[in-house]
This record gives sequence, C-alpha cells and structure tokens, in this order.
Amino acid sequence: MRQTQPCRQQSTRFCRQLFFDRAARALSCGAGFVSLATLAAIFAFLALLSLPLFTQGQWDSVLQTVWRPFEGRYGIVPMIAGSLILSCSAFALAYPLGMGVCLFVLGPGGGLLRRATMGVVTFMTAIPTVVYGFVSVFLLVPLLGRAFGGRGPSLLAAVLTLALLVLPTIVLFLHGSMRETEERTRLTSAALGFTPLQALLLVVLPGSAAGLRTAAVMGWCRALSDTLIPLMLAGNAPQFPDSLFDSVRTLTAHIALVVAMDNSSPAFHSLFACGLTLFGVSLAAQAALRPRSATSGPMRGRTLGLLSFMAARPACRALVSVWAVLSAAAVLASVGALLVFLLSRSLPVLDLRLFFGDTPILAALLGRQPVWDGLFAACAGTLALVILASLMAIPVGIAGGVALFQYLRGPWAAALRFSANALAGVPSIVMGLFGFSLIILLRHTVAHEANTSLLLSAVCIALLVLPYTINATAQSLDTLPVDLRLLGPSLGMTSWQSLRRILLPAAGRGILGGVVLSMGRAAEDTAVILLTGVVAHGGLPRGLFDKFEALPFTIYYLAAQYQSAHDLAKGFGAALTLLALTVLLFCIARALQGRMEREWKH
Amino acid sequence: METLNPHFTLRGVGVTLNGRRILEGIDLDIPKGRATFIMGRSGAGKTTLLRVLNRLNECFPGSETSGEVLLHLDRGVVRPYAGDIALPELRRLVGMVFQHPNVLPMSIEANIAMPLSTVRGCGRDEAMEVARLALQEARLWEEVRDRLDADARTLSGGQQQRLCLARTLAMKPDVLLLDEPTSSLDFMAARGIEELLAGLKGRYTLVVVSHGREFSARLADDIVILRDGRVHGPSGDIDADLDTCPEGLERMP
Amino acid sequence: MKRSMHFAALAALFLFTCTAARADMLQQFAGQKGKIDIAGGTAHIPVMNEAAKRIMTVNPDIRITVEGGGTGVGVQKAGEGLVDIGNTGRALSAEEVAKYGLVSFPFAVDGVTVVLNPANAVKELTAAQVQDIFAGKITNWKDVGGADAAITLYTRDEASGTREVFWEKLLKKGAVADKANVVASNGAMKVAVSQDASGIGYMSIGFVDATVKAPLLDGVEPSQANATSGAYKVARKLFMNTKGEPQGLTKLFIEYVTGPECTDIISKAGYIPLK
Repeated sequence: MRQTQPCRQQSTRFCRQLFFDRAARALSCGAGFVSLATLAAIFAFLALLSLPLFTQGQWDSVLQTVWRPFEGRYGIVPMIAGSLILSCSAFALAYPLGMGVCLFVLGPGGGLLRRATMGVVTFMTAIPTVVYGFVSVFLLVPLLGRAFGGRGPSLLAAVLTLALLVLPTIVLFLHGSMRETEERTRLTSAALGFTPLQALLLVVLPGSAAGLRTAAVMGWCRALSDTLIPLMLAGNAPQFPDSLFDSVRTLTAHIALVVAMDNSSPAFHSLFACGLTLFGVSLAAQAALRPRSATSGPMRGRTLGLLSFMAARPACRALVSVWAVLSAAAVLASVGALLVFLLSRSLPVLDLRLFFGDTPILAALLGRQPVWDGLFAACAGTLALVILASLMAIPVGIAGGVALFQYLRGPWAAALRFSANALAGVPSIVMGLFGFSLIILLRHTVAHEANTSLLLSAVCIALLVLPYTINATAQSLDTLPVDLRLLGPSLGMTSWQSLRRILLPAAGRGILGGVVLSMGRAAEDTAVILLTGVVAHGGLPRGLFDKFEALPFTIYYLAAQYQSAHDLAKGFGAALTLLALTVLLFCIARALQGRMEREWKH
Repeated sequence: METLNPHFTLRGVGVTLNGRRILEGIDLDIPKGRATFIMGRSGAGKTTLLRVLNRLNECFPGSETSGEVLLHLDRGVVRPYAGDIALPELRRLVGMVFQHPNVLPMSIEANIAMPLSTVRGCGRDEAMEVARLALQEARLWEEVRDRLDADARTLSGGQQQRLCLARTLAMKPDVLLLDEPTSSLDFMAARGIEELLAGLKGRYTLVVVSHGREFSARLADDIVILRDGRVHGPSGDIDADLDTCPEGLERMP
Repeated sequence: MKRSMHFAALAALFLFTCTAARADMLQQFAGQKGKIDIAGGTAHIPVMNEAAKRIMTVNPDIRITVEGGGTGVGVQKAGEGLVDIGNTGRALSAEEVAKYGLVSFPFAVDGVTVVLNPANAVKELTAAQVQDIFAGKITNWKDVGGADAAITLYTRDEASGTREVFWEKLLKKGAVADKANVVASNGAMKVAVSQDASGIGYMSIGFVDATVKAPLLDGVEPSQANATSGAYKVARKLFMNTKGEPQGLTKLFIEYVTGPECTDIISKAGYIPLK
C-alpha cells in the first residue's frame, strides 16, 4: 500500500502537503543516487583507463616485481607489497595499543585521567594527516636517525606515524561498542562478583565481538588508504623491504609520484591498475564487514578461552592492567610530544607577518595586493574549499541519509548503503586520480576549456566526504526511539512534515557530528587537491575555475621545499594554523548545534 | 447492540510483519461514541490491532495489512486502505496516545502548537487558543498556565501523559486510540487519567488497549479479547468478558 | 667588425637605460588582466616565483600561479593545455614535441651535481664511482675513501628532468638500484641529504647551499661557471614550454623571463642566464 494517496475531496492544503512530501521523496532519493552514480563512475574510470593494459597485452608486465619505467618494466607488485606491509605493521601496532587505551578508559575508577585520555583521543581525530607527517619529518626521523644510525626516511618512521594516525579511528569504534556492552551488562557482572577488569575481559570483550571486528577493518582500511604519511616518510623506493629501516613505496604514494607521466604511456595506465587494486581491497573489506556485523555473532573458541584464562589469573590481570596503562601513557606522550614540538617551533613565529608577509593587511584582505611569503592565500583557499565542498556535500548527504532512512526499501536501500560504505573506503588519492582523469577526458571530448581548479577539488572532496554525511544522517535517524518516529504520523503529519519538524531536529546532534567530520576531512585532505588544482604559489583564487593555494598542501610543500629557516618556520606556522582551523570547525559546529536546538524548542 | 452505529467495521483483517502473522481474521465493529477496550496477554497483537485503525503499522517496513476496514464518517463510509481518505487526514481524525508519555523536547506550548500549525495550518493566535482549550479539556491548564514556556520534559509523568492527550485532542479527532495510557504511571496519576477518560467518553469514540481489569471494568462499554491474533467477543456482557480474560490481568490498576 | 660595433652600441644603450628598461618591460604588463598558470620543473620554481612576484606587485590584476611537480608534470600539463607554461629541466624529446606541439624557450644554464651530507669526509668522486654507487655495487662509504657507514641512496621521481639529465649524462643510462629512496623535488633532495649523514643524492647546482656538499667530479668543481664553459659536463638548460606559439600575457611573461630584466633573478637563484 502506498503512503501517499491521490487527493480526493480534500482541501488544497492537503494537496500542497502531499506535493511537498513527494518532492522531498524524489529529491532525497535523487541525492541518494549521487553516491551510487559516483561509485559506478569511479569504477568505470579506473577500469576503462587500465583497459589499455589488457588490450595491448601489457597486463603481465604490471604483475611484475620490478618497476623501472625507463626500461619498459611496469611491475606494481612491490607497491602492493609495500602497501600491505606498511598498513599491516601499522595496524599490528595500533590495534593492541588502541585496545589498551580502551581498557584503560573503561577500566575501574572512571576518574578525570580516563576522561581526559578519551578527550585526547577525540582531539586526535582533529589532527590533520599532513601535520602528523610534517612533525614526524622533523621530530621522529631525526630521533630514529640518532637511535639507529644516520638513515633518512624508513618503513619504521612511516609505521610509527601511521599507527598514531589510525589509533583514534580504532579507539573510537572499540570504545563505542565496548561502552555500550559495558553499560548493558554492568549490573549482571557485578552480581556475579566479577572485578571490573574481569568483567571487561569475560563479559564486555566477548559481547562486543562485532565492534572489535568493525574497529579492526576500519583501522586497517584507514592505514591502507593514507597517502601523505608514506609519501613523506617511507622513502618511496619501489622494492621489497628487508628490514624496518628499508624504504618502501605504497600504491597510494606511487599514484602521487607517477601521475605526471605521459597520459598514453603504460606507466600512466598502470596507475589505474593501482587504483583498481586499492578500490577492490576497500570494497572487499566492506563486503567482509557487512554480514558479520549484521549477525554480530558472539566470540567463540580459542579467543574466549584465552580471555577466561587471563581473567582467572591475577598475574595475567596485572599484565593487562599494566598494558592498558602503558598504552594510554604512550598515546598521551606521543600526542603531547607532537603538540609541544609543534607549539615550541611555531609559536615564536606566530604573528601577522606569518600570514601577510610584508603586504599591508587591509590591502591583502581586500585582495588589492597579492601576499608574498604569507599564509593568507593558503588560509583563504582552504576556507573556500571547505565551504564549497560543504555546500555540495552536506545537503546531498543529509538528503541521501533521509532517503536511506525513510524512503528507500529493499535492494535499493541495500545498494545505497553499500555504495556509501564503499565510497567511504575509497582512498583520497584514488578520488584525486578520478578527478584528474575526468578533466583530461572532458578536455578531449565535450569541454575543451575544462581545467583543474577550485571547483574540481571541491567536487572531488565533496564526493569524498559525502558518505560520512549520508551514514551519519541515516544512523542518527535510525537510533531515534520508535515512539518518536510514530508520533508525527499519529498526529496526521506527512512523512516530510514528521522528518522536518520532529525527526531531523531530534537527530540533529548526530547529523552535525557527521557534518563536522566531513568539514574537518575537507580541510585537512591533501591527496585529492594534490591532483586536482592546488598550486604552491598563486595568491587568492578569483573564481571557481582558478587554481588555489591550500594549507595542507603548503605544509606538504614546505616540508620538502623549504629554502630557509623562515620557510621552515612558515611550515610550522601553517601546521599550527591548520590544526587551529580544524579545531575551530568543531567549535563553530557546536555553536550552530546549540542554536538549532534552541530554535527547535520555541 | 445491533442498533449501535459502528465507527469502524473490520472484516477479515490480518497483519503480517516480515512474513510473521500478528493478526488473523479479525471481524470487529467498533461502535461510535463508546469506549471499546482491547485486552489480552502480552504479544497477543493488541497494539497492532490498535494501529490498524490509523494505519500506523505501515511505518514499519515489512508490515502488510489485508482484509477490509471501513470508517464511518458523517459524509459516508470510506475505506482507509483503499485510499478513500488521505493518510494525514485519517490520522488526524483518528488520534493516538502512546503508552509512554511521548512529549517532544520543546516547550509545553510548542508541543501542542507545532503540530497544529504544521498539520492544520493554524496561525499563531489560533494555535494558542486551540492549545488552551485542549489543555483545559485535558485538565492540565491550571497546572501549566503560568509556565507554558517551560520544557515539557520538566512535567511529571502524569502531566506529560495529559499533555500528550491534549496534543491529540487539539487536532480535533473523532476517535481516540489509547495504548495502555496508564501503565507507565503511578497510582494517583493513573487515576487522574482514568477520570479524564471517563469525562471524554461519549464525546469521542475511545479505543483503549489495557491490561488492568479494574480500570477496564470501570470505563469499558465493550471489551474485545485478543488471543493469539484472533478476536473473542465482545459478548455484550462486560463481566462475562472479563471473566474469560486470561490470568495475569488481575494486577492493579 | 660591424657586428661587434653593433653589439657594443646595444650593450651601452642597455647599460645606460637599465632602470628605464626595467620599468619598460614591467610597464608592458600595466593595464593587462588575466592569469598565467605555470607548472613543472622544481628547479625553476624560485625564478618563476620571483618573476611572478614582481609582475603581480606592479599589476595585481594579473594572477600567476606556480606549481612544481617536476619536468614530467610540465610536459604533461602544458601538453594537455592544463597550464599555460610547462617548465622542463631538459630539452623536450622529438616525440613530445610531435605529440603535443610544444614550443620551448630556454632561459638559463644549470648543472646537476652529486650532493653529500656536509659531515661526509668524501671530497671527490669519479664518474665511475658514482655509477657504481647508484647501481648499488658500492654500498659503503669506506670503499670510496669515507667512513665505515652504509650508503643511503636518494634519487628523484620518474617525472624529474634533473633525474633524466643525471641518468643520461653521468650514469650513462646505467641502472639505479631499486632500494634508492625517491624524493619528489630538488628542495626535497636537499632536505633529505642534509638530514642523512650517509646519504648521497643529486640536484640542480642552483639549489646547493651550506646544508649539503657537492664533491668534485673527476676533479672538476661542479659550478655554474664550469657548466657554462663546458668543463663540467653534467649540465642542461632550463626551459619554459608552451603549447603552440605563446599569446598575450604568456608571451609577455616569457619575454620578461628571457629578457634582460630577469637576469638578476636567474643569477640570484643560482643559474647562469642565457644571453
């Protein structure tokens, strides 16, 4: 039976309401299909552009172990190995560490220190990838060099930094699911006489099996898809590493390094094979995750046995406690070192000159004089990028989430859900490659004037963050109490009225969380803009079709290109500015949220 | 009995949820202007039967309703499931109050005024006036007249439930569906709601899902017993119907 | 004789009107509007930035964007029309010219030199030693007269023109070991080698400063003077390239950079301007 009915004998008011209802339905379903279409388009691009490898019989040359493009050898196997080795090592370090942090946070006491630890972990999600990379280049690499001899970038440096990068992802997923289980089973465990740690080991961990798996897959995918950290820290040699001190090249860094090759060369086409590989792995991870998390089967066999073994022995319990404390301490110390180093190097240079160089501020702000040696243009470019991408991604994302929650059922809903999840797993460098090849294609076909630009970067970043908004919207609507969902209809509201007046405002907090995540991601992403229109110098963009400067790229550029102490100081200043910007975005979003709630109440 | 005007006529109604049969072969007349109580064990399908009347089951994906439902209006008989009446109009005419007080996290006034302006298109002044009348009808006006701007969640449970009732009454319904309206309240608050419902009886057609034998005995005109998704009664004799009720209905109120 | 008289007269004229000429060249940009997008060779960046700065200071209505990426990016982006000027650190191949219809404008001479960390005791290398080091045959500094430490190799990315020049003229197209770290720009090479006591890399002579050390190659000092004279063989020209003959602002910009007013910028960046 259909929800909407033809207006018969009803007033025009009803007709109008029903029209709105249908329009909302059509629009949100349309928005939902944007994500489906994007996924299909990315796949089509990667497949089409790697096609010449098949048709020209060079496929086997890609599946070789040697990358020497000037000898006609285009093997990407070392890069696949590099990606796997780096992501797995970082994950192997981050997951136990994350588990330790979680056990510490959920452990007995619940004091200020534990809440502060969780606060720090949440704060870590706001630290841009490029800032991790930048600080590591100047802090971690020299430290490792001093400890292990005069070596430069290495697998080890990249593993350590990447582990820190993916840690908050892992901890937030683990913590979310474990805290929920803990609250649900607290009284039962206490009644059975378990100590808090025993309860964690025997009840909470086994009860959060699905959450543990989700955290693992999400953390690993994050490590696999990162571009900047391997590019800046891993050394990029196309080889199989023999030790932690060797240099490796990942698929993501490979794309960034080789994208400048001749468009018709096999080397260029082999990039799309790299993209396809990354795309395939992230799809597989999504597929592997879904059915399991749906059934959320309990933990079985050996793992459970091990946990009971540990819970029964005081020595093991003590060991677990020590591990938890050590993990938390390690994470706090690392973040502390990062911040102290960043602040100590950037605060001394933090003045208006850092932003405006020698240009009079008013003239710079009005765009009358270009700013040299200042971060002003990069700040403005990043701000423009975030605003543009948000304007595109947020309405479409919320509408898509609404479609998923309210309007789509059955296979269409499953398809949209899958596409959103798969899109969330697409590495940003692949999105950048997509944008770049899209422009090349447009130039050769319909739009000969198409060029990499602010608009292209914004579109690609919007597509990158779209799934976050869709998922956050759908999830926050899904978690509303059933009675609240029924209230609107029971009062005679159309489904659109119920959404607009009751459900969306009630889910506002969760949706805004997704929006904040998206904006932060848009502000910090470097890999997408690297291929779609960012420049090192250029002043303020004058329009959507101009190339632009951006803070994350400035940081990346200065980390490698600094010519003087002033340049380097500028890099630190830019890193601090970007960090401040992402934190500021958090605050603005919170203020907006407060205002929205007030408006809704009166 | 036969001379009573029916408000709803159900013939062979069945409901499945994701293939599971909840209700089956329900034949039932709900008379106009009387209080019909639906009783039965947990899981017997009482709430589902109630939600058949305002098509609220359709808010759950995977639910399917079969059979024929007739709604008798002044302008004639309409079949809600055949699309004779627009869904919002049907649900406005057939108001509902939930088991747990379902107030919105807004001010007391906005809880009533927002749906009014959204669904009925009332202006602000009109909405205020309707809200006042509804609050008076729900016997809440005296208690909240000085703090209409306060958050509705600051009210007591009984007050919240009366606010919900006022919100539904403000929509000017013909029928009130009440899903165990007193079960989440303490004794005194439940008595308050009960007295209120006694006052509404006659002016509205009441359909109430209830667990409480005493409560039902005091208020019901007709009692419908649900057992495993099928209906038994009403026989016309309330006491006889109550006696056929399964055990476990004795608890108060 | 007549020719040299001519030249002397021109030179004199140039010297006398130096200030006026400077204003003249920049004056041509006055009243112009539009943008020039530049990408490619990383050795070019300091020159491009300074020229852009001067032009945009005189006329803020002109917007010049400068992007690195390496020679490969310069060829690709200029060829595809994504930028107005694509910089290369080597001459274009016949294939590239034929495919894209690129026109080249050389403006400076630059050498490519091996660089070491200043802490490295090695002061001189032969071409053969360099070839063996980069091929991975020599793996310890003590084999070439240095301390007992493993050699860390740094090479440039596939898009680099510096890499091509180095590979062709010094390595004689010999192999580069796969284990070599890859950095993406001249600046990045300097940072990497300056931080790694046992590192060896190569880069534009214009980028050499106190943080890295350029050893003698076969007894010849790698300097721009030797590169210009031909005594130092691993040298190249720096080019700007356009798709077809340059027009409008792009043409003005190229004239400006190749003209007399930019020689100080080019010299300051560490290159020898082409006359």
